[in-house]
Amino acid sequence: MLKIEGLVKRYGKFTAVDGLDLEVSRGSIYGFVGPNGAGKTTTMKIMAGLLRADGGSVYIDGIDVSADTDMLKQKIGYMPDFFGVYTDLRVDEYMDFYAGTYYIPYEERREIIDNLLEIVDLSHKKKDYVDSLSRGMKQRLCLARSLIHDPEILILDEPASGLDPRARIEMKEVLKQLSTLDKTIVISSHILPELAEMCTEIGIINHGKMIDSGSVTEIMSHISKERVVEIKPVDKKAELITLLEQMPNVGNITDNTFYVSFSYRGDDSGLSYILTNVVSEGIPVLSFHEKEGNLEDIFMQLTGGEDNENA
Amino acid sequence: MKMLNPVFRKDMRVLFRNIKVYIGLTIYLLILVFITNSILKMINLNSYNGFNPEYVMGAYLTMLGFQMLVITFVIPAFTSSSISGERERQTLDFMLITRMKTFDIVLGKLMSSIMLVCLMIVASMPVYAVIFYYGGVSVINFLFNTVFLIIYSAFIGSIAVFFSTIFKKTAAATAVSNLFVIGLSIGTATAAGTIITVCSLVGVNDIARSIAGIICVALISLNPVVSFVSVIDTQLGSDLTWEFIGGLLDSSIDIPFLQVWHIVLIMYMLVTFLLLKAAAINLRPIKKSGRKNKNIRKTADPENN
Ligand SMILES: Nc1ncnc2c1ncn2[C@@H]1O[C@H](COP(=O)(O)OP(=O)(O)O)[C@@H](O)[C@H]1O
Ligand SMILES: [Mg+2]
Repeated sequence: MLKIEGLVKRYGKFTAVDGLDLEVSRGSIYGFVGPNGAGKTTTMKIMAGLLRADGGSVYIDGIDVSADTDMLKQKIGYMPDFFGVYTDLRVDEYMDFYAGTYYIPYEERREIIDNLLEIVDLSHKKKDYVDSLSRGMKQRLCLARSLIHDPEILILDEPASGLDPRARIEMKEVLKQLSTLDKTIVISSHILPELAEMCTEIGIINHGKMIDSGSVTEIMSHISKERVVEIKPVDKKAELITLLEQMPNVGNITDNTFYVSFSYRGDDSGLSYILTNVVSEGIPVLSFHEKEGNLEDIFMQLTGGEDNENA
Repeated sequence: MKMLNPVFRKDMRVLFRNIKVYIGLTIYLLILVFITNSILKMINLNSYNGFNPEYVMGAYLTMLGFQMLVITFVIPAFTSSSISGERERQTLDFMLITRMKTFDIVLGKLMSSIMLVCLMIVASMPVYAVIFYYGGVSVINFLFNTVFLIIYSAFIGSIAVFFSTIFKKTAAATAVSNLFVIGLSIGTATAAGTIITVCSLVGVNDIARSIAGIICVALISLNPVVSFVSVIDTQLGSDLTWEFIGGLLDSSIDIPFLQVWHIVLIMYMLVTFLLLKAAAINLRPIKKSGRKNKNIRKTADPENN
């Protein structure tokens, strides 16, 4: 459906997007995740045809969009991270304006606009001035605007940023509803957990490069090569730590009062070998278990933990 | 079905809700009434022996001069925010991703500023009515001036739209638009002067002189004062611009079917079209050229949107 190959974008000497590859299959919700400054907005602007790439190509259904910008405009709906609205327009007039910019005939507009306002739950605000809407409502209105020409692909740049928790939930509801309408959706965020549950695919970007991509479980399994294990002995904790220090592929041994945790790089049989050793050395083990990898930890690990909330 | 330009349609909605527009029109009308009233008073004082329609024509043409002055300064102030304002409000990207051609976007913006001038003309109706009441001014004069004002406002508006696509800040676009009109007036006059000097230094024949004359007129017609004079000329039946240029070139240009105001209107429409084209190209987020040659594109390209 949507494919990006070797995308490069430079701002002066600074390379914001550095040979990025990305592929989104039809009907999926693709989470485009990376810390602030990773190059998400830049990539999305190029996808939307608002910025020229310095290298690489964007394909929609196998067609290079630079060869057919009209097709791009018809197939892509885009919602930027920051946007403004007109102060002196009502909600339906605002939608009507954008219907006009896609040359939708006057007689068809009413139905389209009513439907979209229904989807984003703004029907009751139809005659209100756009400027009087709350931030969350504006965001939803903007989403409706990006759907006015019934695009196949929807590109949403940080749609949940700057929203209070309740507005975020409402936004998510709308997005879930959209995915049932057979749209391919690309959503960016600098917070992985925010997206994980609703995305069918995820791509992690940092410093303009794609570091990992695939389904949520695939990404988890890639990272899980480094496992965190917790052992709870009845006593002999000091001996346990000494023993662990001699074991291969073990690192990061931490004394947590009631239990000892360590990280381990290796497969299941290697891990069971450690347990066998501990038991045969006469250390009474109460529990031995692998800690579930948490998406947020993984994300931090992948992107070097330089993510910060607001920027 | 032909659709109304969506940008124009939207801007009209916003325009008619803008209280400043009504205040501006009121102030304009008050000044206009004051000026025409003073002139008509003078006419009354001077008309012991019956009344002279030429004075009414004078009042009418003064009104035209005032309207041109207003257009020259108000249109840039209003129109130079047309694109930069959308950019500042962060609504420009939404327009650029749509199926609208950038030419239609800038055209819609220009139509909005012409609409403002149409409002101004409509607001002047009471004053026109008084002038018509005195007589001496025909409906033809009225239509002529109206068409001229609209084309003039398109010319001034296209300058403002053009600079609005260049400068990110509206204030800069306004200032440069005004400077551009002044610069254009001086620049074209200088160019015309150079042509005249060259012609007199190099002895040229009569046909060459006539052609040089037309070129000079075409150049200086971009000067609002010259275009104003040309419009007065035809309505008073005089031929000041031709005579002036002809005198300088030492030739009597006499082309009966080509009058100065023809050249003026052609030049205005030409410049308007070219500036709109340039503005449209400026506005394109992805320039067509450079898309092909990847090696050239490797060079740094600071793009700031
Ligand atoms: N117009 C610009 N000029 C110069 N640098 C820019 C511009 N836009 C973005 N950048 C830089 O490019 C990098 C990527 O930015 P962006 O794509 O906005 O990242 P993200 O959306 O992932 O936070 C950042 O380091 C940012 O500072
Ligand atoms: Mg961003």
